[in-house]
Amino acid sequence: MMKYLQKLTWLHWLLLGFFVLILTGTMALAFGYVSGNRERDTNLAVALETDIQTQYDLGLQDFNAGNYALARQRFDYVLQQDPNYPGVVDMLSETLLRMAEPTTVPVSATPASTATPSPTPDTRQADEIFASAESQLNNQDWKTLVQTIAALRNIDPQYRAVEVDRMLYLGLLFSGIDKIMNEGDLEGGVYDLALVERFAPLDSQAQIYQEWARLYQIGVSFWGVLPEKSVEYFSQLASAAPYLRDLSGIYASDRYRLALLQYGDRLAQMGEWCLAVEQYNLAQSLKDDQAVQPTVTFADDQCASGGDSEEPEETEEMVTITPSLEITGTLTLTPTPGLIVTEEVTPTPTQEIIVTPTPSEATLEPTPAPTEPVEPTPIPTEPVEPTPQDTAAVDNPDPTATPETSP
Amino acid sequence: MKPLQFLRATPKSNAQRLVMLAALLILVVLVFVGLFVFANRLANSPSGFLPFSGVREEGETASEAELPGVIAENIEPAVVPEGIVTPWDGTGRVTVLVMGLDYRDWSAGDGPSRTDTMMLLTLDPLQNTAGMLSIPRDLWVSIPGFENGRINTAYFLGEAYQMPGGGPGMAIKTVEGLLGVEINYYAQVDFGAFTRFIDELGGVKIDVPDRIKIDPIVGDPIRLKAERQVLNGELALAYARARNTKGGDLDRALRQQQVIFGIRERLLDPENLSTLISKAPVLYNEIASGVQTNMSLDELIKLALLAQKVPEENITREAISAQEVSFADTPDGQAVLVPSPERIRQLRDEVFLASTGTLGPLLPGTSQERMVAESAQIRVLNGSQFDGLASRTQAALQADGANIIEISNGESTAVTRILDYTGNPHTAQYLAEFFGVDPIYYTLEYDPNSPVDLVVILGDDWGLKESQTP
Repeated sequence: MMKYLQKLTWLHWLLLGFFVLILTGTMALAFGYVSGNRERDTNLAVALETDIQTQYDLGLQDFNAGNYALARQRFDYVLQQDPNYPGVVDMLSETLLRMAEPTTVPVSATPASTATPSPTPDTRQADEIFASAESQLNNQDWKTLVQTIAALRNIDPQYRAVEVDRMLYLGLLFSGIDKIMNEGDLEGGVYDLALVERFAPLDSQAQIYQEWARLYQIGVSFWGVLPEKSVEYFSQLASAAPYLRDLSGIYASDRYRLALLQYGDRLAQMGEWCLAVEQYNLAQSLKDDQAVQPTVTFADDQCASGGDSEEPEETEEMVTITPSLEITGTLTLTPTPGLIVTEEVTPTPTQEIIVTPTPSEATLEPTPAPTEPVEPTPIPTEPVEPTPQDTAAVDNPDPTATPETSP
Repeated sequence: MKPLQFLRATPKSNAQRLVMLAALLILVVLVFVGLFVFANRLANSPSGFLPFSGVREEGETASEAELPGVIAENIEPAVVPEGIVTPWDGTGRVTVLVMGLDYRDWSAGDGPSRTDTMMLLTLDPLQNTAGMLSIPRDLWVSIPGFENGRINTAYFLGEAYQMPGGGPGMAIKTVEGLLGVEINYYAQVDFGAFTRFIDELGGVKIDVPDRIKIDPIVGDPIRLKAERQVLNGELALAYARARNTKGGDLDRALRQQQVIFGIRERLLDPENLSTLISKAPVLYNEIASGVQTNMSLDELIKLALLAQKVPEENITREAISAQEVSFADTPDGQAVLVPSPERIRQLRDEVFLASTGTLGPLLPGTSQERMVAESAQIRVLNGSQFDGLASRTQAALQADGANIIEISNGESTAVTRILDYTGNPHTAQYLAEFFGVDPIYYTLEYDPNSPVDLVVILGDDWGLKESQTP
């Protein structure tokens, strides 16, 4: 060994050192990277486990407090992260049932959304991906089909373009309809249908679903600001699609009822008691809410005594008011007063709803606003529960029809 | 002795050789340890990538966890809940929600913040296009699970209620609910890092269109002249935050886009390349410490490389502005912007549907050529009062290359209808154009086992039209 070392010149030493350093450096980087990745994965797993546990616990708290919309989001999340998490399927089902009481709405509690694709680029050959897409088409797994086609086109945009265009068209169409009719993702559905229109005209049934989603979105854009507008849009939906809901899980029929109450409150604030009573009565006809009844009675009295256009004066003696979705600043949900009325009123100028054409600096006091648990009520109209297979009122031509004239 | 001669000589004693060996060994150990730690930290992303979840550690206050610029030493690596965001497939369209927190909340430091800025950036690598859409903070929107509120409170609510995904998760859900597009990543940019980053770049060149008064966080308000000028980090931030112009928050969105373009220009400037390379570690540190995101370092680099390939003319810049909203006050006196969903949808489509990438039709050719390629089997039924209409129509369609498998009589109808049983978009499109059928008379009755792909029922409208055609 020493003999060999004795023959080495300074140049050899230098080159040897350089080579050893490069080798060591490369190995260190590789080992370090792998080890770092492992640490990261471990940390991720631990963090995720803690996160899931915490969300489940918070979900239980929300459920017990009646905050079903929040509880549902948390249980959904837990289910997506760990479909085998003990009790979560039951809790999610229970939450959905509570949200849907007393109606039955076709909402799946199965962890369907766990089909989210892996972020790892799909490196399978186009043929294999196409075969998967065909299988998803046969199983009518539309959402996954769209993701599979996107993955296929990332590899080869022109691969079997005729068939792939067709698959994508069907995937987007039915996935869009599913988002609107079953998932509450109204704008996501509208967007998918906008993509469908790049291929072909939107079919008549899809147009109807798209229109419903649009009406809901317009109605909700006025929510809490211009209740009369919300009433206008949700009144149409309440009869056409009462079970249409948004990401908060509030059905169109409930939106209509709550919008009527909001509008009634607004009219009462303006001293328009008789008009307010009309709104309250309409809302009560949809669902008899005992908490609202004293307000209706009081407004009715005011209307009967000709108290229109008189603004109430606050006194110690407060009368119950319409429960609303007003925020309380805490997680505890309480029916909050939107209006305080008294037996005696003093005339004041009518309060107008301000809609100004100029921008104004908004006040910045954010307050947490948990949604009031909504219990959807069936309304007199027959619920519409369309499925992607629903057809429009076009008669299916009878291919066996005997020709009477020359075709 | 000349250097080269020295190199050719051998060490004179064993002691010298041992010293060489020892030195080499020490060097090897040092290099190994150093690079191992470096690679380990890099892979583990220990500095900038904060947990995505809104769940805080026990005893940790909101201000400690959420305030930008405050990086806890014991932070966990990013948790990306797949139920909250749709992961990017690595090659298709990718969309990022960029957020800046409200400075007043941030400086108060006693709880969750609202967002001050929201901007959606999207990139379609296949078609080399990109887009940015600014969202005003006072937009009145539905926040999932909560009442309607200003969009800037979504982040606050997600944090305050420890929702899955926390503030970023709730902000993403809210924006997705508003626009309907999937968001893959978020990036929450800290004020300090933003200014330092721009300073390291040597400032950004901005065309200031009108004289404007800006109010830097540090120092007195100043007025910028209407001219092209280089702004340092502090002034660029103040310029991007300024709201005291005629258009208020809506004008501000355009200024923010100007600043982003200014940064892009600096980064892509060839003259700046050597400076950028020398400052790469500093710039990386600024990004890592000042940007909270669910993006991994690999993804960040990949995105940056893709983004720099997109030419400026392929970048669509839009902002939700006065045309897409109406101004209103809530009953408690808050000034808010009520969105017009239809108009916002048009704006979204300009940004996101300018190129549909993998999610659009890719079969080339004209409508007729695509119909021929699809080769769908069509049955034509005469539902009109015109004798022989189906035969004549068959001849016309076959001349265009349509695959007519049968003609017959059908139930009488005044208007022509198209029924698609197996999903044939290109043929449906062609037939709708050919017959001038209103989409309301086009129906998809999906039945994969149907013996025929499409049925056309000719109505009196077509019979009349056809009879008048010479």
